[in-house]
Amino acid sequence: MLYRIFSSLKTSVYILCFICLVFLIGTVFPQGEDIDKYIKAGGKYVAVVRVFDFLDIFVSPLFVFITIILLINLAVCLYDRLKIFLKIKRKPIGFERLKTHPNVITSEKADIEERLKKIGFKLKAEAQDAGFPQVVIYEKGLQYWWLSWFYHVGIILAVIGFFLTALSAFEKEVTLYPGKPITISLYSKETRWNKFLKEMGREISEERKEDEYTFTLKEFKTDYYQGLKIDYPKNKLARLALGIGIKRIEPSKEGFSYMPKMWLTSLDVKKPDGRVLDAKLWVNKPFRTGALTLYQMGYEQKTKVSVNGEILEVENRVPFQVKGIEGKFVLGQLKLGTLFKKDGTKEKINPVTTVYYISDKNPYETEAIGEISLSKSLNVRGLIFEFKDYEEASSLSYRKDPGVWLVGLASLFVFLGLSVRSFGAWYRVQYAVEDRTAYILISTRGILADKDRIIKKILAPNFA
Amino acid sequence: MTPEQLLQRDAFFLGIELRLFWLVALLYGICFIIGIAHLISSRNSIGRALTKGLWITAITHTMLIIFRTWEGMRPPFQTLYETLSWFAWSATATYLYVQSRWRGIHAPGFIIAGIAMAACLYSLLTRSPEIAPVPPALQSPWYEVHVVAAFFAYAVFVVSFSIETCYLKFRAHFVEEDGEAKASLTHGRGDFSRPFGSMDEKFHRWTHRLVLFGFPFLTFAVFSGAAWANDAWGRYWSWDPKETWSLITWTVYAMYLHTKAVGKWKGMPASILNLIGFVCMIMTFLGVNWLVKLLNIPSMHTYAV
Ligand code: HEM
Repeated sequence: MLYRIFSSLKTSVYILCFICLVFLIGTVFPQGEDIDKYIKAGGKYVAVVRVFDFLDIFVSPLFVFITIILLINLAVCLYDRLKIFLKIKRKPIGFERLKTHPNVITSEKADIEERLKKIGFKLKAEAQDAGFPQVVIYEKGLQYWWLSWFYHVGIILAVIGFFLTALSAFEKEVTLYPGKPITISLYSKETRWNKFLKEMGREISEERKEDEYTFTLKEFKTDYYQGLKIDYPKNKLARLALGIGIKRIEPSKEGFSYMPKMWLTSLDVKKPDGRVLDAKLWVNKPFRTGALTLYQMGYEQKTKVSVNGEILEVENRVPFQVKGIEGKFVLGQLKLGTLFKKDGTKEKINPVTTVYYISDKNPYETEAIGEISLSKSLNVRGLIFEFKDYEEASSLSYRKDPGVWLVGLASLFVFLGLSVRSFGAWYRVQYAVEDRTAYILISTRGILADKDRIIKKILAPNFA
Repeated sequence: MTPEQLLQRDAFFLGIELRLFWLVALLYGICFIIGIAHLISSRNSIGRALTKGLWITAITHTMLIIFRTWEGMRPPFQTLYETLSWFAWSATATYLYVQSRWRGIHAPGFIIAGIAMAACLYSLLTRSPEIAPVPPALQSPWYEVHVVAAFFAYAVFVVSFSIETCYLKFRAHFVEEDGEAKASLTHGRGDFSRPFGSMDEKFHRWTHRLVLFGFPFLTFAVFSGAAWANDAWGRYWSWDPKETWSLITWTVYAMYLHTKAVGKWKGMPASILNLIGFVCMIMTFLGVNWLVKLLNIPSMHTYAV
């Protein structure tokens, strides 16, 4: 009974439907949020959210449970289908059914079997009911049920890979300043698996020297584009006026903006065996060695400014206070590196940043009050801001994920199997002759299967 | 050239582009109205006008896409302004290809014209047409293949949806009269007039084939997105709302394909799943941006907004 339920395609549709519902919940409830914060923000359904772990649904027991049910369903289905493929010998339909089938084609030609063979069909089965002509099966193309089987196996592997990632992957961030090496370990006691072992009272191993890597930043570079602006109206009628040609689109009166082009890091990576590698990485181009993968995330900047003679070292984009002044100041992103100009030329940027002011009365509004650079100080509201020095660090993340290769391999399985199954062509011809009339029934699978072409070939007056 | 002159030049070309884009939106609008007339009158000549109109619009739209590509010197699907236009164009082009295979039927073109017009107007009225250079996050070999695969799948699903909706909503028009399909909407050569059984079967066969065709592309879009995320963020899956919605869409279409293998569910249940799949696809493409804003959920994909 249970076997029958689990081997049914209907069950899989219900399960997939249930999984969709869980996915939906995961996009409506803020994932990774604290339940207290959720309650404070006026969240309803607190009891349900707590019981079913809606704020961390993708690692909740509910999700794991449904996924395991799906895995069982898939496994049973695959086993059941495999048994069927291996055991059942193909059996043509009875002659009476063939003859009266709505899609059957008739022909007076005697050489149909030869024609089929010539265009690549192979004889797969034959059967004869007492008193009726023999019915034969010819087939051509990749057998779709094997392809189907193949990519369903891929789905199982992908889910297992996902579990492996969820249990044992970890990632951390490092911020590298020039000349300040940092040593990290590629082992974490904080993976879900280790945490689970700990909860079970098992001992977890400590961080070991064999997992240690040391990073030393050699260079961090930022490139910018020169962003030029046009004045495009927000008002819908004004936009329509532009479209009809009543109004003209104009360049913006504001100057240009700096738009990030690329961040690149060059560093030394000392491996646990003492070898030092020269690593270069940038956004979308991680650096991989052994089990370590390093990614370019972003950057941090620190600027040394003097305000009315007092030297302050501030982190850009983090508010700071000036003694005796109401409110806070923030230095915006520091622009430095190379500017790729719109006219195709390049230019070294003289490090420059914008000074913002945030009043205590209106803490959500930042007001730009001017720019400072090595060659330009700012005199505003009785304060003199002078740009003294700066430092830029590269923010990298590193990760170890034992599940990723399995998910990758499984994806390949699924994609290839699915594509060949969907786009490929498979034909089955059931055929019998009675009183010199041939009865032909053709079925196909796959988008490229062209039934008409086969019909034309076997019914053409002259076979070429 | 000085920056001012470059800016003047950009503004001039953008002015031309916007006029062309408004013209494209207007043409879609006209096709939509012709489509309504076709459905009301059931006249085949009006149906043919609808398809011809869509051809003219698609050619104009192709010129717009080429012009935009030339202006930006990069693929024309980086911002939502651009992807909406790309979406409308690819859906129309896919529809016209499919339509040319069974010439006699024109009605689904009305839905295609409506969707394409809505996408163009949404883009023109709410997004900025400014041509931004490619930001670091998009500088990846995965970018083009991922987006092209996703939008190709979307285009195919839109066409499947248009046929399905037409069939469900205007079923009466397609009912066979005295064994012959009602001439105005269904007559013609091609697959629909072949002896494949009832009209029901013919429609379902087409919607099924289209989803079967689009599904591997959607699968590739999801996988290439994961491979890209693995390179860019170091995590192939983050359960970001856009990722989750793409998985919902993928699962709904997988359910649809499964129902096609269950005898009793082949008809209406499968049709309903096809429509739900379309809604999920629109959620993945556009709705997520809105959901993220509404519920204040952090998303790594909001650069597309
Ligand atoms: C995440 C889970 C699953 C996905 C994404 C999936 C995907 C698919 C797809 C896309 C098809 C249609 C392709 C085609 O028409 O050839 C299909 C067909 C099929 N699936 Fe699944 N499937 C899943 C789970 C299952 C399960 C649990 C079963 C077991 C009952 C199952 C059994 C079948 C069968 C028997 C077919 C028809 C065979 C065929 O026509 O190729 N699938 N599946």
